Amino acid sequence: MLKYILRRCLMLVPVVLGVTLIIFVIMKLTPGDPILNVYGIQPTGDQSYIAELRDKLGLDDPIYVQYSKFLWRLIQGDLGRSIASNKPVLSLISEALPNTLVLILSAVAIAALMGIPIGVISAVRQGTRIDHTIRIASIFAVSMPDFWLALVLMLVFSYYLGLTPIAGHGTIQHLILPSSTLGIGMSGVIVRLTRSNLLEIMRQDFITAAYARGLSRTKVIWRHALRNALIPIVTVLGLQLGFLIAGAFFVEWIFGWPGIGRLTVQAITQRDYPVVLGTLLVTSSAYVLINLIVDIIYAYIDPRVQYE
Amino acid sequence: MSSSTVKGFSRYLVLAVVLTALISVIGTSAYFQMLVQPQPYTKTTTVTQTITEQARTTTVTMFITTTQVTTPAPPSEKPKLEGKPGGTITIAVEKDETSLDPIFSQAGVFTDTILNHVYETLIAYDYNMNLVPRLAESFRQVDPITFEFSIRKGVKFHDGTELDGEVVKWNIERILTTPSPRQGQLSMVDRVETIDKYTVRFILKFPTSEFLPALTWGTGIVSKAAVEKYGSDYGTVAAIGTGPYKLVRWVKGDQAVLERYNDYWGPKPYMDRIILRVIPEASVRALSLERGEVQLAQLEPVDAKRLQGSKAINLYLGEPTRMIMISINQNPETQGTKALLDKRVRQAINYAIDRRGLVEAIQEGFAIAGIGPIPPALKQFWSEALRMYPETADIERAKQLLAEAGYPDGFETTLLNFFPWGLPVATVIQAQLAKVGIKVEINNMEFGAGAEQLLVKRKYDMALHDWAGTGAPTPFGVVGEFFDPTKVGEWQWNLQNVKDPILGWLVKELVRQPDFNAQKGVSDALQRRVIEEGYGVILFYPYKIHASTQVVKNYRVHPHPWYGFVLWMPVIEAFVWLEQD
Repeated sequence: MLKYILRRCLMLVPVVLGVTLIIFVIMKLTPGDPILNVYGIQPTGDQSYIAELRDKLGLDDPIYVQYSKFLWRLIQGDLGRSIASNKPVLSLISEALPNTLVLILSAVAIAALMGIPIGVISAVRQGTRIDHTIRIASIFAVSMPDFWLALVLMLVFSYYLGLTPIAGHGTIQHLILPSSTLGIGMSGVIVRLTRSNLLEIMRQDFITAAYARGLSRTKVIWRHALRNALIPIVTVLGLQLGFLIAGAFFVEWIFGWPGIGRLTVQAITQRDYPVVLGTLLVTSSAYVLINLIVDIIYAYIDPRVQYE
Repeated sequence: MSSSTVKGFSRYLVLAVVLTALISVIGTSAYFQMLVQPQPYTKTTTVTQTITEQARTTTVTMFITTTQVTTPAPPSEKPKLEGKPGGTITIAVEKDETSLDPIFSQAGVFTDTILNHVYETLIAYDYNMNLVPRLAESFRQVDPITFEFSIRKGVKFHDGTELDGEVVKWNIERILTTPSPRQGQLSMVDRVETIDKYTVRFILKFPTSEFLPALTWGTGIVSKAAVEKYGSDYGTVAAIGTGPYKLVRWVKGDQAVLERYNDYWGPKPYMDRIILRVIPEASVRALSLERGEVQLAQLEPVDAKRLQGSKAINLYLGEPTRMIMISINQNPETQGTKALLDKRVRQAINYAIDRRGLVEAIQEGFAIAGIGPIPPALKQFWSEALRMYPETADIERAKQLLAEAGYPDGFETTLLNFFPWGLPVATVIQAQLAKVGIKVEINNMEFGAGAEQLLVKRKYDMALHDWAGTGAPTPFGVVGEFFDPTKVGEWQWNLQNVKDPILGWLVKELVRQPDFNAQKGVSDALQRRVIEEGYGVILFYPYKIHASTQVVKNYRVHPHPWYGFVLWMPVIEAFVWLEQD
C-alpha cells in the first residue's frame, strides 16, 4: 500500500512538469501582456517606464530561458512574485487556498449528506410520486447554473429573510450560502447516481440472498446494497472536489469569497504569469492527490480492490 | 457477503463519520479562529471640536500662472466639526488595490480610498477642483520653473518617524528613479532641493501648468524608514504614511482594515475604523448596502435606478470624470475601412448616433450625452455650447453627408470592443449605424488581447473604450496625450492615430498658456476641432454613482477622477461621521 502511494506521489513530478510547460506556452502564445494589463491601461503621461519594467522582469527573454528560470526557482521552492501586486505568489496562495478548501469541503459534505440519503429513498420508492418528485428536483439541481442559484439563494435567504449575510467571509454564517450553492448543484448528480446504482445492485443475487437470510429491508439496503453502490459516488465526489478547487469561481465571485478560483481568473485576465503558474500548479497537484485519496478509499469500501 | 464484512463496513462508516466530523469541527474552528484575529480597539475619547490653525482650508486657483503664485489667505469662516465620534464604516469596492505603495498602485477608475487615507500628498484638489496645500503648509512659484513648498511641521508618520524636507526630497527622487507609472507622471521634474529643514524646491525641466496637478494624486509621501525596512515587500505587507488612518490589515482580494491614527496632525477622524470589502459583483454590492452590511458603495446604473427614491439609501451623483467613446483609426496602414478617413463620413457617424438613446438604454439615464473630449467634472472647460451633433440622431443629415462622400448605400466596417461593459454599447451602436446603411461587425475580444490590439498593434477601424485622461484633471491631462500627433506609436495614447498638426499646436499651447482664460480659449478650440473633424464619437459621460445608508453623514463625491471615497481630509473639509444609536 505504502509503495503504491509513493509511486502515485512520484507521478506528481511529470504532472507538474507537464502542467507548467503547457500553461507557460499557452500563456505566452495568448495575446496580451502583463505590464499592459496591470499598468498600461491607467493614467500616466510618459509610457517609457514600460520598457524598463519589461526588462527588469525578463519578459522579453526567449520563452525557454523564462521557463528554465521558472523551473530553477521552483526547485528552490520559490514561486516568484506577482507582477500585479509584487506579493510573493506563495503568500497569495496561502491566503486564498484555505478559504477555498473550507468552501468546497463543506460543499462536498452537503452534497453527500443530502444526495446519498435522498438517492436511496428515490431508489427504494422507485416509481412512486416521491421518486418522480426527487428525480425532477435532482435534474433541476443539476441543470441550474451556480451563478443563478447563488443569486436566488442570496435574494431569498439574505435579502428577504435576513437569515444569512449577503456576501463576504469570516464567520460560519458567511459560509452557509456559498457552500449550499455548490453543494445543491452537486447533490443532484449524487442523487441520480445513487439511485441508478442502487437499483442495479438491488437486482443482483446477493441481495436476494440477503433477504433470504432473513435480514431486514433496512439492513439490506444500508449495509449491503448501498456499500456496493458507493464506489462511483466516491469517484464523482472526488472528481468534483478536484474540479472545484479552481472551479468555484462564479460562487467566489458573487459571494465575494476570496478563494483560489477568483485569484486564478483575475491573474489570467491580467496575464500575471507567476500567479497563474502558481495557482494552477497547486490545483493540479491537489487534483492528483485527491484522486489518490479516492483510490485509497476504494480499498476500504470494496475489499476486492487491492493495491500492491 | 459475510456478516463480519457488514459489521466491518459499519465500523468503517462510523469511524469515517466520526473522523470527518472531528476534522471539520477542528478545521473550521481553527480556520475561523485564524480569520477573527484579535483587533486592537481604542475607546473613543472626545474628538477635538475646534479645527487647528494648521488644518484650516486654504485655496489657490487651479491654474498656475507664470506670474508668482502664493497660497491665498485662509477663508474667514472656520469650518465646524459637529459630527459624533466613533463607529466603523464598511465600504464595498469592486476591486482591490494592486499595491499599497503609491508608486505601484494601479490608480484608475477604481478606488484609491486606502491610499488616500493612509498617505497624504503635498497638495490636493478640493471639492471645487481648486488646489489646496495638504502636507505642504503653503507653496509658491519662485520663477517659471521653480516651485517652493513649506512642509507642515510636527507631522509624524505612522511608524513614529518625522516628516521633513529631506523625506519629501527622498520621496520625489524615489519616484523619479523607480520605473513605475508615477515616473511618467512627474517627468517634468528635473530635481528637488532642500532649502532648510522644512522647505523644499522643485526645479522643473520646462515651464508647465501640469506640475502642481500631478502632485495631487499617486504621489503620497511614504515613510523613508519603512521603505528601507521592508525593501521590496513595502506596499504588500506595510503601508506607512502620515494620513488620518493607518493600515491594520490587508488581505488581498478580501478586505483592508484601516484604523484611526491618534497622532494625526490635523483634527482627529470621527470614525474609529474604515473597512474596505471587495465585492466584485455589482448587484451584490447593492444588496449588501440595502441590508446595511456595508454603509457606502459604488453602484452600477441599474441598481441605482432601483434604489432611487428609497428612504433607506442616499444616492450621490458625482460629476462625470470620464467618457465612453469610439476612436476612429486614422492611420491608413492599420485600418481597413478607407471611408473612415473622410471627414464627412466621420461626421455622418456622429450624426447617426442617438446619444440620448444610449444614455437611457445603457446608463438608465445616469449619464450626460457626449459633446467633446473634456468631461463635465472639469466644470470650467466643459460646455454645452460646444454641442454640434444633436443628442438624438439626425438620420437625414447623416445620410446626406454619406451621399456627399460617395457612400449613399453605406459601407462595412468593424468596431473593436474588449470591455465587459462594452458589448451592450457596441450592439446599440451597431443597430443605430445600420439605420444609415453602415454595417458594423463587432470585433469582441477578451480584455488582455483587445488592449494589446488597441494600444500596441493598433489595428482596428473603430474602437470602443472609456477615457478619463492620462493624468491630472486638467485639459492637458485629459486630452494632451490623446491628440498629440507624435504619440501614435506602440503603448502611446493617441488612439485615433491622428497626425493633425493643428491639434498638435493646440496641445502644446494648452501647457504653455499661463492664464485661465487663455487656456479656456485653447481648450475650446481644441474641442471644436476634434468635434468638427469627428476623430472620435463621444457617446456619453457616466456619472460616478456612490450610495450610502442613512447612518453616513456629511458624505460628498469628490470630483477628482482618482480619489475614490474621501472620508477624512481636513484641508478640504471632508469630515464624514456616522449617526449611531
